[in-house]
Amino acid sequence: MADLAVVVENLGKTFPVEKRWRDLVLRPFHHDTLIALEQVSLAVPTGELLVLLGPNGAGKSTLIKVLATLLRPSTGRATVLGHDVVAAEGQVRACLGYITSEERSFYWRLTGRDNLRFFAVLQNLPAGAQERRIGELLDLVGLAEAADRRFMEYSTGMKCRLAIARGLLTNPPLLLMDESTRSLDPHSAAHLRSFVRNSMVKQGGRTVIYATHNLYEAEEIADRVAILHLGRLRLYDTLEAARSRCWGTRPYTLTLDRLPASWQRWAGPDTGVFSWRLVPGQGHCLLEVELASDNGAIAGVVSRLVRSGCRLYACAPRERTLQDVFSEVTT
Amino acid sequence: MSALAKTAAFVRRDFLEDASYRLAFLGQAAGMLVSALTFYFIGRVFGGAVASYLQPYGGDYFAFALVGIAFAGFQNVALEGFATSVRNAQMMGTLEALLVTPTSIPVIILSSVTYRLAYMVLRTSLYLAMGVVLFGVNLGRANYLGGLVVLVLTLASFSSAGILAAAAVMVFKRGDPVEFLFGNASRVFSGVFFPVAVFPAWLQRVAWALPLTHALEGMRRTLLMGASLTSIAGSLLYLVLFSLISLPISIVLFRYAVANAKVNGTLVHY
Repeated sequence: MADLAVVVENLGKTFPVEKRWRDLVLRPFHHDTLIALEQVSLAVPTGELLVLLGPNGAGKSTLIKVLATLLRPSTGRATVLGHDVVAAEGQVRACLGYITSEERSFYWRLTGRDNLRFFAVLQNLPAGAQERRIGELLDLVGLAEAADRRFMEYSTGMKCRLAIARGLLTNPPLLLMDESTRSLDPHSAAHLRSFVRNSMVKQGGRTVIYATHNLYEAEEIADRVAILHLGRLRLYDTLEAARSRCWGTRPYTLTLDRLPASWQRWAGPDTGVFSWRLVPGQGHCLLEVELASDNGAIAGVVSRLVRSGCRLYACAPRERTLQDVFSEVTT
Repeated sequence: MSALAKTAAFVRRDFLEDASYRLAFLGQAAGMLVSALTFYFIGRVFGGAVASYLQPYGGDYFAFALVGIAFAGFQNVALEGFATSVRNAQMMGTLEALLVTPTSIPVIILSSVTYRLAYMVLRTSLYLAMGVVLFGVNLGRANYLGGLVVLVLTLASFSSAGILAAAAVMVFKRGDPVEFLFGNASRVFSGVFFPVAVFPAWLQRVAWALPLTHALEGMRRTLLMGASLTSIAGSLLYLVLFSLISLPISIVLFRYAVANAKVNGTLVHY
């Protein structure tokens, strides 16, 4: 078994809900809490790229912040390269790069280069190597020409790119990226993904945890995906395994001339049709269905459509996309 | 990377930020002159009335007030500087970026005010120079080495209160009770503008419980009267003990405040 870069065991995180004035008087000893993470367990092998997926409020950023030592877990534990995130905060911080799309985390009246110089010292980058490394990173993120402009003069995308450069200053073995491409244009985002995938992970053997709600990004770069929903880990697997896993349903696409009027009454869980969607086309339409995974369901659908008098041109199982998987586990 | 190099990085950061506000420095210099002028004329009008109280400090009200104002600034910086740094970092969003680096909390918190303290040394020197050149204050007998010792102890003791204030800001965000109680009490009772000897006996006991009173006493006696360190041993001992006890406590409490913010998820709340 490969070495594990990150291990999360039964991790839970709750936040106290601030009391309203009325509750301070009427219920002074009552404490409401908000559950952000519940019983999350996962292990990320060294040299893999894990994409944390989930809708807004799923707990992605909370998990990233726990790993970055910016939040204390309420229950369970987590280790980063063998160091406990609570007991050995300093060692954890020394081996990670943390990249967020939070543009307020810089000094706005300083230049991009001066910001990097400041954080390079705080991240223990040796004095002799600082200028060279900063130069390399500014080239990498395309900010070499704007390096001596003040941060406040940067566009949103440029600020985002400087955050990426900061996270890479020490070339850390673990990179935590929280919606890092949110403000980048498609070209820059693709460039960054390619850099992370190829240079950091494939060639550099670095481990990356990449939080996003962009499924396209996830499909492009992930070795493994973890889908969080309402603080719970709903899926944790390799991309391929997640797609091919038996979900209890199987997606099909049927091409036909029209949908018979009786279809709406007939289709339902009783007949093995869990969901369906009609996509109108020129002279024909596409019927996308999620069927019970036993073979009898598709045979029943085909038979029903033909007996209803419609012309069936094609019927094929559809490859499950990450979108399908995501919808399956978050609804 | 040494703590010193990190402190230097903080100083450089703060200098670059300060230097980017060009007019502010000129404004501060003008403010110092106005303040010195005010106390010069107050001294001309009322100085004689308190002359007997001022004998231990050379008898000149303006010199007395000048040293008081100049060095009370150190308390303001120490007391408000830490809390302001934390508050600014919360509001600007840089606090998380600092805390995710492998830099210890004591280094972050102490380095965050180093520039302001260094700037205060410069400002105080300017104040005193202004007093000597423009208003004829006599510092010819000053024991500068003694003044330096008092200054270092002053900074250490005020810093502990400042770090406590920063811890309060970390927890309460606004409405720092430490600055309110300690700062206001010191400003009124520590003899910045008048000698504590004018207070009734019970209020003098309150005054001598405050570190700023001892700091100002030591500073005035060394700078205005050339007093030796042994002659102000009482004030020095008080400042040493106050620092030794309160500085570790304040750092522990600040660590606790940060840990509390990490538990409650309020690190970047403001």
